[in-house]
Amino acid sequence: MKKRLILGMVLLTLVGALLGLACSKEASDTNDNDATSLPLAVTQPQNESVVNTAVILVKGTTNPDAVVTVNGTVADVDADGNFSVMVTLEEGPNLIEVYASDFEYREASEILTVVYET
Amino acid sequence: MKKILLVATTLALACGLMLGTGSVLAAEGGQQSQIQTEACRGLFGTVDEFVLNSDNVPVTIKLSNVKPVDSTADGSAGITLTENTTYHIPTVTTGLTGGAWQKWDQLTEESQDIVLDADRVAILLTEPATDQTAQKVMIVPAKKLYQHRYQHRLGVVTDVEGDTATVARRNGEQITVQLGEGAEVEVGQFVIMVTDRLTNQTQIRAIHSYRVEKLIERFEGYMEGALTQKDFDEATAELQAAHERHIAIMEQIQTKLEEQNRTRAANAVGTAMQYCEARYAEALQLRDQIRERIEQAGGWEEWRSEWAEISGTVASVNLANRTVVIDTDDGAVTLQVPLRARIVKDGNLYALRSLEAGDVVAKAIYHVGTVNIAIYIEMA
Repeated sequence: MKKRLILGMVLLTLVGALLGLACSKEASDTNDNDATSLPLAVTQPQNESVVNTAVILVKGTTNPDAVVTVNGTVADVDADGNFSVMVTLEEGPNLIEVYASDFEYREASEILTVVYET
Repeated sequence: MKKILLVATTLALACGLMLGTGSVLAAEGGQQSQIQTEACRGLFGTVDEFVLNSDNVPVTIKLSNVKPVDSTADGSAGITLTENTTYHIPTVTTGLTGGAWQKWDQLTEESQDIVLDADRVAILLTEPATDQTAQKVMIVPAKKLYQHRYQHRLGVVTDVEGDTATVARRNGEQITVQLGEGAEVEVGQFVIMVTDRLTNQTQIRAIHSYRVEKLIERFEGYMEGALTQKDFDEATAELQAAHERHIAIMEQIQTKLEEQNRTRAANAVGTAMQYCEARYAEALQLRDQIRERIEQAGGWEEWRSEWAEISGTVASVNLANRTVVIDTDDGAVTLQVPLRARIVKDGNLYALRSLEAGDVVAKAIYHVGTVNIAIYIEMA
């Protein structure tokens, strides 16, 4: 019985290790850039918020040397790393994709969902 | 050993019982509460279940963990789905695949499966909200699984012909892209390409001069505004480190291109490096000038005494000579505002042209002299 238990535990450990390996391999395959990521925080709007204006300000912070796009539009980043850009929403649910990258090929992203109701 | 097995079996049974009981309770508590306010037509929720009719078309979506939290009494809701309800799956339903918003019967089978497997949704209800009928349902993508629509690709322009540019990336790969309207790039510029994965369109935005200028201007501003030797040394060290990192990346690209015998492209990168070195040398000249100024002032303490801080109201702005007059309790003060001066409001960077007479200045820091030179203006 003891032997079976030990064998079972060894097998489980092996399966876990294989799963772990598979996950890390997948992660490294999908990231063709450097593994380190940029700091990126979107401070406005709040994720999963309901707004009633068609144009909203998306604000956040990152590294001062980063380039930030919000739904594909390049935002200006100031010397303190603050960025802001106006985004026009369509009525209903909207996805806001914030993407930052820098000279050292580091990247970071955030996705927010807001609903614009008229 | 038997005891251990007994304990393990008991624990497993207990877990199973708890799980089973939980699901029964959840099923019994399936009666969703009503949307409480007519005004709130937007909501978010975790999908518990799609109720399908005999044709396998969803007619109700049962949600829990509903947001806004005050829209329902207990955080759950049952929303009616009609033939007019439209669905959106980011990066899946698009203008290229029949429109961003599609009715159920317009969705492909794969898209219908994605909707039915959704974990969280964002919904716009029809008016009035208390009818609890969905006008639009968007599938909220899981961050880890979401493939971003817009990608950034950095590289150096190695060739420009008409409205196309060839850009070398760090791995030596060269991409030829169509230049968007108004986009002007030169050989040797560091650029960022913003690619829309859906339309496969690539916008190109020249950022080499933007980034290098910005980077160096920032450190020049720090050096100008330094009031202690420590601040000054830190700004100088950071400028040097940033410059070295920048040059190292370009050397990497150049080496790759040389390995691939792409001489012309490698030379273009060399031009970019020369530009960066020249701009860096200018910054070092400024550093020496500041150092001299401080020595002439008699040291850091004397240097600090040459700076002043005021608050007041903008009386006028002259964009031609970049001056702003600020009315203070002690009279009007005219400030020269160089390009590298920072104008800030609510944490955002502002341009001089955005200031108007009557704007309140919470704080302006400037170097006192025959011409007062501002380094920082904070708007209230």
